[in-house]
Amino acid sequence: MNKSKNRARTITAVIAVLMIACTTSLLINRSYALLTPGVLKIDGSSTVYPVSVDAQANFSSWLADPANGWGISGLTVNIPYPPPGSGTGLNELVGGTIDMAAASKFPTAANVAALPTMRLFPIAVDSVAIIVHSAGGQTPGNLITQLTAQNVSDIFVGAVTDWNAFNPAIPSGTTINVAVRVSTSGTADCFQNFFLKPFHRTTANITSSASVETDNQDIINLMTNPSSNWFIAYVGLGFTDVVPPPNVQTVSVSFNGGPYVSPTKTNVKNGSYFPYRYLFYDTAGVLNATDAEMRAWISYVRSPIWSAWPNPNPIGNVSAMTWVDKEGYIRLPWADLANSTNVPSVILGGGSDACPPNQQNYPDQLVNYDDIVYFSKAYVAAHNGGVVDPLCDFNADGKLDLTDIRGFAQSFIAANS
Amino acid sequence: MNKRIFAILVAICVILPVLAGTSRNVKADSSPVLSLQSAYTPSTNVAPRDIGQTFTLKLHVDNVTNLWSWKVKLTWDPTYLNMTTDPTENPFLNNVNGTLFLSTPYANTPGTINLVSDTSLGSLGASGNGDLATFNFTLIAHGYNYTTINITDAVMQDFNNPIAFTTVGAIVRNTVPGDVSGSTLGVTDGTVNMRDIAYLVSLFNTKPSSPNWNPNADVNVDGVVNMRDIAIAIAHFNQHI
Repeated sequence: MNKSKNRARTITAVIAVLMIACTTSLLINRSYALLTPGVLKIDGSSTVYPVSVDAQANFSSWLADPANGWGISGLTVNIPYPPPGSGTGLNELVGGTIDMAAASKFPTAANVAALPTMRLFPIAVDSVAIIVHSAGGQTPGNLITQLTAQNVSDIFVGAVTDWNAFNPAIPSGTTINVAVRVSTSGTADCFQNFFLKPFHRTTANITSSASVETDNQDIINLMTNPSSNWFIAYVGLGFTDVVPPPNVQTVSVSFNGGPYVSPTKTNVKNGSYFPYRYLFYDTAGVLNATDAEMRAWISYVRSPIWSAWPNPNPIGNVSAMTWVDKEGYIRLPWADLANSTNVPSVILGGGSDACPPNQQNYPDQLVNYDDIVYFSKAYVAAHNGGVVDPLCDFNADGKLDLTDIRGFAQSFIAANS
Repeated sequence: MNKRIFAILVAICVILPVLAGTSRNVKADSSPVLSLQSAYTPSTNVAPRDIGQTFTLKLHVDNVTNLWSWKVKLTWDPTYLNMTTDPTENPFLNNVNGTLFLSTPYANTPGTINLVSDTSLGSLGASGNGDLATFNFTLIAHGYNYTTINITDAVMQDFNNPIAFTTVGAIVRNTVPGDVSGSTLGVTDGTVNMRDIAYLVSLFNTKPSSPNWNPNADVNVDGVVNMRDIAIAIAHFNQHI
């Protein structure tokens, strides 16, 4: 009798243990934070899109490999094509229809008011280049190689409509054809900040005759079409820097009466070409323990190891080419985590640009004491049971340990040498 | 009885302000100070030396509570001084939780090291007094009096809040060792000659408490003018800038 009781107890205990183990296993593997379990949906900026696609190629298999620290299998990364632009992506994030917005601009004040918990994770810096159609059926070809920022502004709002005004060799009456991006795009926002706002104009003042294109690739398609005579447009720097498109030439720009400066990565980095903007992945809130897929994605895209292109590199190789470099953007120093000042109000003059409250994780292209404090606090938080900050997870393994300290220190030294 | 009470009251009136003053002084003395310390006396001074000789300064903190992170920028006149090695960490902060000690390269910016910092990798900080970092400098040219090494852009903080503190830089005597006087008594002239020997003799055995104490005559910065100082002057006799 006692034996059978004991056996029953043992069986019950074993079943209980198995149930707990199964439940725990389900809890560990289940993705509560994703809107659709097993699908990470990212949408928005056409500028960020190429980087997202690069990362997407191997992310799911990488994430599934326990050796990489995550062991989450069966994830699909959904990046719709064509990308609708940053504004639409941000609205989708606010509306709760995507997990992560790719954005090439700061959220609007309305976005922040609707979703004050929004978090921004910077991945790169980009700029906006002015381009003209330079060949095709034009006679003569467009010989415009430089304009002032005021010229550009006047052209895009229709205050000047004749190319002859800038080059007497072009016959009088040669109408300037203007192409722009939809006003919600991050590229349009950057253009507005540096070519319209300084002259008290906004995208609402763009000439009504302008051809409005959805994404950067549409602009490139238009401008490289041999029949697109006498067009001028703006495009993300990454779309001109890696492979200059045929039939298109970039225009050097003079800002504030200064010298004419060509839109190159070097000139953006040294500040001589003024326009620049950050590229972000934005999330609906602080990433928690259940947001492993999103934390892994951000760490993966930023990692000195995994973002190295075409092959993974040791963490010490801080100069390795990355997806960001490959796509023509400017890589942020990996240890550039924070900025003690309110970047948008400083660089963009407020207006429609907004910071989600209580955030400091904007880059400033400097690796300094702000970043040391940010990293150290993230390290302490992680070791006190908090969630690993993906910006600080240099080897993208979901932990903050000596490898990440080494990565931070190497990036600090490289940035300050 | 009344006299006794009166005496007690008088005593209280005298003692209380004294105690209060003592209390204020202690409080004032106990505020955190970040300083550059040498092996000399006073510790923020560095004795004259020959060109090419090195000396060490410690970044030192006194009276700090829960120091979790600090940073400094040091500036100096590159005409007279070179920093010759990377700064190194001292264990005061590291003993608590391990640290992230980082500095920018000293070689890139003569006369400045833009950032030296140390941050704890735990939430607890260090309290009390201690050395934070070590710096090595070399004298590369002599001058007529002294040059300074200054602490700027300094920050100390506990895990959550900044810590208020004062800073004290270092004074480096950059004269030719033994050059303590010139045609005007006590004013250096860039040359070591009999004027210097005579001046040292005139101040023989003076100390900081002496009414005619001149710290510039204390060549080896040990707190007294004596034969050691005269010996240094003799050893550098006829040397000049």
